[in-house]
Amino acid sequence: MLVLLVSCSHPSVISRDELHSILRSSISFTAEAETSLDYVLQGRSTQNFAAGHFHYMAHELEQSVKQLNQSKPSPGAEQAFANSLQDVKDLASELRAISFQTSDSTAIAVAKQRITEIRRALEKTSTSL
Amino acid sequence: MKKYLGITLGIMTALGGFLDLGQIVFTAQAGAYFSYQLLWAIVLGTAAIILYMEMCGRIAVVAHEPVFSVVRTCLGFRLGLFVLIASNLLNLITCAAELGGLAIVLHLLTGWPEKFLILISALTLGAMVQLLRFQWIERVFGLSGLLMIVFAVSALILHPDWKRLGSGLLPHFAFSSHKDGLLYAYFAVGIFSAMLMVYEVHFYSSGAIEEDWTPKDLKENFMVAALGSILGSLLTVALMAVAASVLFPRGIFPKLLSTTVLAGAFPFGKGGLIIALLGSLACVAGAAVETNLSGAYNFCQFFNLPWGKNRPINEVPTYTASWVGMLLLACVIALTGISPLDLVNVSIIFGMVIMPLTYYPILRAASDKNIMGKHVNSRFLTITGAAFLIVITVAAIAAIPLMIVTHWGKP
Repeated sequence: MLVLLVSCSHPSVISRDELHSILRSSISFTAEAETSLDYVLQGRSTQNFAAGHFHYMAHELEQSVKQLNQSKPSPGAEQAFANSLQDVKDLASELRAISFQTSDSTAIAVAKQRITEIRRALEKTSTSL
Repeated sequence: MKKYLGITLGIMTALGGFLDLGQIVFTAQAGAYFSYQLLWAIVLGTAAIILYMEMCGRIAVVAHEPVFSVVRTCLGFRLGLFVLIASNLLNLITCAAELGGLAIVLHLLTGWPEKFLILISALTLGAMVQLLRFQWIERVFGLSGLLMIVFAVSALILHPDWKRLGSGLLPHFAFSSHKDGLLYAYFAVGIFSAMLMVYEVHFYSSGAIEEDWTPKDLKENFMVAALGSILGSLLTVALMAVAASVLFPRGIFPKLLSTTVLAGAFPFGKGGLIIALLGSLACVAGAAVETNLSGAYNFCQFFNLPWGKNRPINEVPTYTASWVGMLLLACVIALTGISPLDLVNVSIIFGMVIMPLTYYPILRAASDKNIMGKHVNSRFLTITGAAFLIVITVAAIAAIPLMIVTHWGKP
């Protein structure tokens, strides 16, 4: 039990492969968010579905943020790690915010722009790894 | 008319296995990552489940032996008890996951809080199981599950690449990386496994006895097993096709039920989206009822206790207590907040491990002339069944190592 507690209190090193996997998953979420925002902008989604869908996406990303917060980067990947953490955090909060504004088309358009920027940043970090 | 409605047993059984919460997301993930390259796994799984569903239905009709009674006779008490415990643990986990899945779909429809919706779902399903006769349970869930046809319509509207779809009927062996090769194997095992989930044969054989089938109905048994499974399989292919058309080109790897529903409703507006949600709701609810009742059937059949959905409660007290208890326990698990998709991933992969111990007794009983008389398996059926059993065993051995090396199928 003691060993378990000690190992839980120390952040584990996240490998490049694991970080890459988180980045790929986050890039996938940006593509999904862009597609979903278009669908909502075209008036084809119900409000409950849109709010729920963005809420679930944000929740998944928050889990990744939690995982990153409990880890430390492998040597040489410090910058990529810091960038990833920031971008995934930004994406999660963007999606969390939009889940409350699914009927506001201006907010959706602005969010889409921001998410596209986050996607580019994530892709850049992923290539640099 | 009654004969035609008998097919709903096959439809509900197949949809509950092929299109439950886990399989909806799992198939979409396979389509989103490998496009149509895993189509062959659906075809192989469909052929295997038709063969074994027909066999267990035939055993139930001819020998009046449901699957778990066959398992106990063939494997003996100790090993049989192990299979019973493992099967019912999987039924419990799957039922809990499906309750969580119901709450997700209902949340997407209503916006109400999920925990409240888990309670509502469990109460509604409990009331339906209690109040409806078996035939009506299969009709309600089998027919409402057909709303998933919206995925097939969507797949056609999106103009699937027929050439790539055709080439997916054969396994693929060239991959860009070793990791992709392992992922491909993981998804192949997962898809095959989900199509053969053991609760399908438990439910189907018990259903044949609940419906009082006689040897005169053996032709119908084959039709019900084949048509129900083919329909379920076509809808699974549609799900993969929708993912290949909508998610694959955009680089989206679905991790949520809502992503799959959105892909299914992609060419449509609000109406299509609501139908896709209701179809998913029906399939997930059907799977919850199927696993819930299977747990009670298994327990009573193993210990030779009276069972039957259509019998009065005072004649089948253990059976009633079993399904009620299991539903309550599943509800408690779902309320703990464990992700339903994590739960169902566990059930798919660990379900694979106990499959050989369920399908071997079925094959042995169906090939035994002393049990089956003139309705014994033909040589062709026995050889084909044995070949599938070898595939099932290989997949069972590979399931857990593949799960570990791919980190549960993470790309």
